[in-house]
Amino acid sequence: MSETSWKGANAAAVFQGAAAALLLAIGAWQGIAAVASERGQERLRPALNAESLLSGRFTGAVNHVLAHELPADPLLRASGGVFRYDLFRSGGPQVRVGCDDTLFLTEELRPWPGAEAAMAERAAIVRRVRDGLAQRGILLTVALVPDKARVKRDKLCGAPHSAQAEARYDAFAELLRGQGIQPLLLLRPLMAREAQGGAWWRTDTHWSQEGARAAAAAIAAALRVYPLSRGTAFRTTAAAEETDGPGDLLRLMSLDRVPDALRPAPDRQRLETTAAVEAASGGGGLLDETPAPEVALVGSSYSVNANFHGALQELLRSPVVSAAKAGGGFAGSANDYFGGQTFRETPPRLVIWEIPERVVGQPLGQGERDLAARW
Amino acid sequence: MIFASFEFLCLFLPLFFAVYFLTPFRFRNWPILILSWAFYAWWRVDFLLLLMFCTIFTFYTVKAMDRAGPKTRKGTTLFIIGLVGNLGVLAYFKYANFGVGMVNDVRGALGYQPIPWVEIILPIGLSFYVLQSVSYLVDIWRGTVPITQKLLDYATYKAIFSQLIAGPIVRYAEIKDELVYRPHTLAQFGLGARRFMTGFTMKVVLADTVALVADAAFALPNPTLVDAWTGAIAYTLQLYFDFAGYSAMAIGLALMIGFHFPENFNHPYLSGNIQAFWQRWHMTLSRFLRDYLYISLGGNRKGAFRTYLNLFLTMVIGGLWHGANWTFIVWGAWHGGLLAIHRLMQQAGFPPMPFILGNLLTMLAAIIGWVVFRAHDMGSAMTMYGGMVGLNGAPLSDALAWQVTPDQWWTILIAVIVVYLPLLGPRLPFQRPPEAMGGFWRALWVIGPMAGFLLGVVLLYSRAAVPFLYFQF
Repeated sequence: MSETSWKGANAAAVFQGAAAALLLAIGAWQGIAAVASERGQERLRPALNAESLLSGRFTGAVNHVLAHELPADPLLRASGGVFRYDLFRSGGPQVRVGCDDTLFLTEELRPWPGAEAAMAERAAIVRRVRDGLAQRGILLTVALVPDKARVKRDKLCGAPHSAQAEARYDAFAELLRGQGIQPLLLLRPLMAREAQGGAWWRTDTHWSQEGARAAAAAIAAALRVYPLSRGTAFRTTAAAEETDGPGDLLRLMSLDRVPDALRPAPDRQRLETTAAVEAASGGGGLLDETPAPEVALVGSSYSVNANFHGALQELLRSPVVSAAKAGGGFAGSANDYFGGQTFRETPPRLVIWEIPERVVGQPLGQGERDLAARW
Repeated sequence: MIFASFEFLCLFLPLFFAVYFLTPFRFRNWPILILSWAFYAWWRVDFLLLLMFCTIFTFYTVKAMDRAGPKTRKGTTLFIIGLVGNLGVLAYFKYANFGVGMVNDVRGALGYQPIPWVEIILPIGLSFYVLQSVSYLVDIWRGTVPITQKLLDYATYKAIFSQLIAGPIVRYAEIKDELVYRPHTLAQFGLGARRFMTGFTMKVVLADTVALVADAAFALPNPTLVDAWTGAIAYTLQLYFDFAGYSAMAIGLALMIGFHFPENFNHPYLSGNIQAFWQRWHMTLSRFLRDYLYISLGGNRKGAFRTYLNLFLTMVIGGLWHGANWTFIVWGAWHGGLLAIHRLMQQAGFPPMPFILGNLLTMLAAIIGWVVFRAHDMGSAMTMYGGMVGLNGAPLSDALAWQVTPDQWWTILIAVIVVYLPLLGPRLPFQRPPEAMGGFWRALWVIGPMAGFLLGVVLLYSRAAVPFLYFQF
């Protein structure tokens, strides 16, 4: 034993050797189980040929399987999240932890390269869509959703909110105005709601049910004078039991399946649902006596979450066809909707386009280019 | 395949040890050779042929040289053939792109068409195993080491997977006896595992975490003073913990199968001057450069001017060994110049600096050097240097701030503490030898590396693996 003259050194080294052998055995079990797993086999079998072996595709497949299919996967990911959060109050690369366990999506806070040009292009796209719809007699209303970081600014507590992100909301609103579009700015009603408590979840990037309702109320108020047939009553009911809120940011921190003591406590909610309480009068089509909705909603996950769609129908007293899409960003949902059968065959009279602030400065993708080309 | 990957930890390593320890002792070089070649081929099957060629070519050239008598005319001719063959392979794969690029630049400037050229891929670990061949050739030619008659032993020496792709640069003489006989005990296996786990922790927990900060800072188009220094310091830490961690893993894995590899790092960032730094940093390369290059150039035997020139040239060539890029040449020249100045000051009778001042200046020099070492080209290096002198303002920029997470800031601080903690020596209980520790610290001494390893596994799984820096050389 060259390292030390301690009498127990040999015993300690033997213990370490035995522990290493045990770890190797555990590693082998994990590796074999991953390779033998159904998904592992699905990925490996097609790569099991001479050409893949020579080109490196086979080793790439093995690498992927072992990086994703270990039986200990949930434990390892959760442990990483717990280590970062409990030791360093860190949310990892995608999440920033503010005070009182308020979580923020890093994407909201960061500056984007070429953001000014991207925002200008997006504003121009909105104008083209607005003009195209106007030619068909359809009104477009743009609702601009502020970032959580803007509404819960006091909870950032040192999380780095870039100057670009700070200026983004006003800058994009100004660009829209420059294109002749008066956006519906949801910042004020949401700030007011936040002051009463909770326009956004703590552990989710989206607005809460209260925030969603406040936003829907602001939109409905702005559209009060617009001549819609408001003959449908809707009622919103809340679930009797409280359940955990969606908590997508906990998921991004790999903390979605760990005990509450080791993570920011999840939000709690009584899940709300909205349903029509009476049928609309009048016939619509030959086989369907229900008229086609006069309002369509395109937008992002904000529109999909927290019963925003339901609240909007209730407050407008009018059915709204929802084409919003989680992960749709700026153009995903609009692209699908305007290119789809529903729009073609039963066009609405009014389109509400919910645009989240956090996407407007991001580099333009194919979706935006497709939308621009369509109009 | 890299050590910090799950295909290594969960497939290769258990398979290797199972096969190795189930093989009767006198055949145990076979599993090392075959599985090390498989380890190498995991990256590119075709480049395994190059490793085999270098092995067989050098073995038989040396054998023929030995038969002819190393110092005879024929022996010397064979020696030169061996050197040219090995260095020719290195030159072709490592420097041809650079050379043709330079020629084409000149041709372009003179209005000629560029030479058509397809970029050559550098085989992983080539720089390391070519140096091994060179050291074997030179040692046999100089008569300082007896030749091996067994191709299996020589091929095993070159192929041992733990040092194959990033060193340490092990000389044949250092393990020639262990290639023939080496004892195996569970305690030695345990000590090797301990070393491996310590290195794994250094690499995954420290180096890979601060790497994200360095990458972000070096990618900024206009780094501020704080950005640039943050990036430069992060890279300084990353490089040390990455390479020293890798070396510790290599040494540990070798010990687990009975080989004693030379140490490669000895707290280089605790050096009080630039000469001490080079005596502690990548020691197996430093001694290679000293023994096979500096001394071959004449060392300090040909007067003062030649001594300084040899020192400078050795470091420039050492820089170029790291890669075919002006940045490495400049880095080598920077260190060559600093070593020459240090020697000049010594010769002139300057007293040694107080440690704190000396260490501060040495680290400043090292950090400045690492910037050009890390940069993709001289333009990027100048961008960082511009930031470091405040040309783009001082405060932390939004462009960097959003990318650095709290755990990364903390890891930078922890890494700095880990670097400097040894200065406090046995005043800290966990830095005492185990026999002088209390029970708690002794228990921690035993299980600490395992805890670090498990933490490393967790972090490795929860983020994408970052390849070892020294693979590119």
